[in-house]
Amino acid sequence: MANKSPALITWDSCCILGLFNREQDKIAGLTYELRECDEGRALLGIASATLSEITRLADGSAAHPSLELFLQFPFIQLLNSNREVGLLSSKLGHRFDLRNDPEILAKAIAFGCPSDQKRLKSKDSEILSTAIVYKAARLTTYDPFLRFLGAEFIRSEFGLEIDEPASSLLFPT
Amino acid sequence: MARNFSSEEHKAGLTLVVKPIDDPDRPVDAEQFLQAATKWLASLSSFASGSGLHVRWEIAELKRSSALLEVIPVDIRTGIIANSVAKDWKRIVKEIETTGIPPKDLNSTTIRDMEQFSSTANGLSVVISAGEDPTVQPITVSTQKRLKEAIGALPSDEYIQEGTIRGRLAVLNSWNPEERWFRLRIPLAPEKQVRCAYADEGLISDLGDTFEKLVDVTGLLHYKKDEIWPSVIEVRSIRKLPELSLSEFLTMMRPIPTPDGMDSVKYIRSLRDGE
Repeated sequence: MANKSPALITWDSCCILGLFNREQDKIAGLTYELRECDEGRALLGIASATLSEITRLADGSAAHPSLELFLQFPFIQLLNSNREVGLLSSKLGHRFDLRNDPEILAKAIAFGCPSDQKRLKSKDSEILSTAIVYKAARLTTYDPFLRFLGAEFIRSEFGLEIDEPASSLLFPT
Repeated sequence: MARNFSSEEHKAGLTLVVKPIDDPDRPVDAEQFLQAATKWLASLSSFASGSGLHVRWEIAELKRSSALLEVIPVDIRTGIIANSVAKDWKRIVKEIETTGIPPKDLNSTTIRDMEQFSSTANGLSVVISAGEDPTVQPITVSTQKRLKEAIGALPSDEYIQEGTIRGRLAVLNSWNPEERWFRLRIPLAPEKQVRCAYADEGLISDLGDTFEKLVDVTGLLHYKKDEIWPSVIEVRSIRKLPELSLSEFLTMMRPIPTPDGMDSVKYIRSLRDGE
């Protein structure tokens, strides 16, 4: 019998924060994706690079026990940052430096990116590369620059969807 | 439509000639020729790419009778002929054949592709010429040997890093104390089974309890180049996953503060922009 792996969706750090903080504009979409995973229709990939950005809870205590508990859901797969991720991250960081590419930069601003966001920073690049290397179907993020790169380049080149969470019918049964 | 190259442009070309070694007048086997030509083009492409050039190799000449293929590198963006690539490729093959040592800036993929090409020359007479250069470069047993030596001198294709992998525990082999291992099936790659070697006898009962269940395996992960999952894990510890209810977790979650006026997106952006 052929084994088929479920679709992999990956989360940017803002999704984990948005979930824990129950941000009103995000909670529905994020819990929808979690429930899809909990019901076995997808796996949730968490790039190891995202975890170091989340350090402290509201009462001042360390965030890592909460993160560890979250990571123990069986539908979560921690995605290691290995050699392939590092090399691709370096390549994409170099490629998506738009400081010398006014045409693409203008497109990014028109898409809704802040005018001072002119290049893919190393953490963005590592999280994006992790999603690509592990062949994720989507990278869920609210970051406009990542979403712009997704719409303009990444979806057609790597088959990776980069967008805010869908609120329904992400994985129709 | 095929492009007609001028005699000046042919100087940038590189020509492969393949003949049967025992009877040069006999037509070469088509499959052998195409295999040699394919591997030759692969080695040219990785060499050009490693030199920072984005070129395509256009056919400038293809003769059936002597199984001859001439290609010319053309810059993909500008359409201008890249003059030196062909000569450089031939010079480097010669250099490796003479010294057994590849130039330091030559990447390992190119060396492997060159070796793969040279290995197609078994039982054939394979000769390369560049542009108007009258000296030809035959691919001989010595070329093959030197390229193999160059590959042998490359850094290992395997690397090791500390880490944790989640998977489902499959085959368990615990009877031989000299060689205890189990296999881990990765949910994202069901066809892949990672061999996990362990020495700690204390793990045996834990492993029995978790058979066919999901576990986190921590230890030294041995990766092969270009592979995303490790091939072997030297296990330090395993951890069973607890039973968790998503609904309960969602009600228990404690907030992670962000500075006033910042939502998660602005906060993460401020961290990353600070680099």
